[in-house]
Amino acid sequence: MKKRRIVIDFLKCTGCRLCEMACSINLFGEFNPYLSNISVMISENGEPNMPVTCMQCEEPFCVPVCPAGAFDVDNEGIVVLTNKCVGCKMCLMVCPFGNIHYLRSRVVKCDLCGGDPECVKICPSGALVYGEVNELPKNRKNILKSILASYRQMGN
Amino acid sequence: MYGYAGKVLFVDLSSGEIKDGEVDKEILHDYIGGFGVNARLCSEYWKKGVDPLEPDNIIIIGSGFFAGTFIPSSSKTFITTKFPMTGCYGTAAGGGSFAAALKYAGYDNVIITGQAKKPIYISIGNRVEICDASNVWGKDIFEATDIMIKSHGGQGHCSAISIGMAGENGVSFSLAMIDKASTVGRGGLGAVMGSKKLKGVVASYTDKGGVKVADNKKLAGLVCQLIERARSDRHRESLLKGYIPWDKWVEAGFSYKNWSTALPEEKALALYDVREWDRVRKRTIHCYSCVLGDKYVVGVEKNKKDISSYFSSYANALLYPGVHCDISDVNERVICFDAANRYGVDIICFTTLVGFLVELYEGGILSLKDTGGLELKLGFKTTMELLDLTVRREGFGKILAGGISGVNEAFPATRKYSSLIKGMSPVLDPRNHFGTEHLEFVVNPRGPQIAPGESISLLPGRSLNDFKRYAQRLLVPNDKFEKMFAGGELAVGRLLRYIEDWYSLLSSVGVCIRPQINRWFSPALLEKLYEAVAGKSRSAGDLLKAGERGWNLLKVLNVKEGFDRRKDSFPENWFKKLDGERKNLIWKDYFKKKAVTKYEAKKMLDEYYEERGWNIESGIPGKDKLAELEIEDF
Repeated sequence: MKKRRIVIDFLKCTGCRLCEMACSINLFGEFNPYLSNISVMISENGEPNMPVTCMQCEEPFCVPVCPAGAFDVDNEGIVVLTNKCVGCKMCLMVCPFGNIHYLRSRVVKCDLCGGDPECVKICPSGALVYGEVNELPKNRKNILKSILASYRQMGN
Repeated sequence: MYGYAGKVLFVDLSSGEIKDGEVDKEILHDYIGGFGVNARLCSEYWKKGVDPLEPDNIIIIGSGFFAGTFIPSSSKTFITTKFPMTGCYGTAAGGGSFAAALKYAGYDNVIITGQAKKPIYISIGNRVEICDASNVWGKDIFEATDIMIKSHGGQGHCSAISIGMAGENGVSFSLAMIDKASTVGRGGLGAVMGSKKLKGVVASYTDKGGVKVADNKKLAGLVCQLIERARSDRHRESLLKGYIPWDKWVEAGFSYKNWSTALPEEKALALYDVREWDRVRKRTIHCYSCVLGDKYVVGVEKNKKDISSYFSSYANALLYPGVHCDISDVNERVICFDAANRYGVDIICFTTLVGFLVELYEGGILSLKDTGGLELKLGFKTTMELLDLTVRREGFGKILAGGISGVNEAFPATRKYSSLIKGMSPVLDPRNHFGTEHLEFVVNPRGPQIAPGESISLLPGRSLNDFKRYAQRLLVPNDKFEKMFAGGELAVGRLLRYIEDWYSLLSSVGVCIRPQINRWFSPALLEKLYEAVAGKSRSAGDLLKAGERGWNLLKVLNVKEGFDRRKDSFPENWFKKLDGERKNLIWKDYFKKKAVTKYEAKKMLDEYYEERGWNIESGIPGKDKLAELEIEDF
């Protein structure tokens, strides 16, 4: 089965934070990085920045603790919060990555914008890609291949 | 109102009073934001004839209209004050994330007056506080920024403007830096903040303040188009690495040895060795919302320390220590540039000061006694010694803190060797290559600033048709267009007016003016973006008029401070020959066809004033122009 996810290549992230703004305007109709489902952790001294968003876990922590049964899991395995949510915030407490938020008196969680994530559309640097999860390791391997090839060439 | 945070913050440092206010809707319509609204607020709260370092001088911080939205590269912060170096009211621009943070904290503008009794900094967030700065006063900009940011939420949660020791000690060419990477306020903003005992300003993001726009969907569509354009730009990769992708840049040339000699081409190329730059460059830093970052973290291996420094891809800030101080080693240039950034010293004014001093010392006009026993020779050692002395105001440094004008005052014999405009060093020399930038140096009340006059003329090799297309993009009216290109020539003075208005408009909406970015924008695109953000449609011409209004209003205030045509004078040395390999370079027009004599230069100024609708004799905005822009009351 196909599993499309937001694949984050943090080495490419420039820290422009357009993704946060695209998310917040979509969620709340205003621009504010604090009202976003994706957040960019800005590095201090030259280390790469790190965008983080819901990992869409295979065995999510948030789903079983929800007393209202507000989470749906769709056929691609994407965890979606429905309007059954009562705002108890249990899911926030169990998410090990801190990727569920309680903002403006409501719980919000990334649902990949129904299959067309706004953050990916706006990312100018290619740090965020929406696609098959296995593509990233493939690409990395390709890069490694070309590096190895150039080493071999130098050796010759 | 869409696009704005909606509040203005007033901070009186003398009394400690903090209050909120609002800006009239009509003013926001007439001046849009950023540069324009700052000018308008300045006209309300300024005091005529005030000493820039007195408590009565004001500092107005403003964010552009688009700041805080996802319109690419729209995060410019504008700071208006009376600058000590030139004595004018001017608006400085800087990047970083301050403008967005200020909006997320709920404010569009901050107006700071008075003078604190002890060192403080202002924190704007869920609360506005005047905080004790005893733990950061005396520290360099990087340390102070780190401490302030750490105590207000950490990196990525707030943004800080800070000054260094140069500002604290009132050095006339001190500036401030935003988020350690973006310089702001060439010409003494540091000293103004220092005189108020204001170490810095921190703005923190809050979840209360967000920026709302009228039409999300439409804006997202326009922004995605812009992003696509940025992604597919063929120069993108090299610009991000800080290379200069245009081969012609080296032909523009540099002058060194106090503007007496043209820098040999191979020397210029050696200063810009891409392999060396690759070695010291660690990472590209982007301003908030920017798609084409031009700030870099650079590291010097010598002391195994990463130094974050501002480096500009086209004006190439690291070149200045190389050109004027003749430092060829890239490590030494980084160390020198880093020190200047940490102290909060303007690298252009400082390196030209070094060139000036060494030339006079070697020519015997300054003696060992004058320099306090310091031997002066171009190179790393002298540069660092002079920098330390200046910033600490020790011995000879007391004189140097006044810049080249300070040296002129202390040693009147040096006066005829200085090349200054309104007391400030030019950035470039027209005898190497001439464009709209050089005329801007002369007419801008703030002194030789490059950004407001920057156009395609920055690079050599453009054709007259390129300029025609450029003028059409800036919506120059037909009759004016004819005059501008009459006789198959380019009237630089006439074109400059439209470039300034474009600058003023872009700065009012808060979009970066850097050439690599501003070429993606046009008045026609701003018209669409404005409509999506503000929810009301205005023609591109009307927006450009708002830009013109801001520019003229600031000029009107400066006319009252004595900035009329008499102040707009060309440095004498521009009309002399420039030594160098290509012997005897003289100032010629952009196409290098004919010489620019004093007569031609005067004609250029005449044309500029005429195009602006200002009095040609006095250089003062005419009554008709003021009435047309509805600013006759000022």
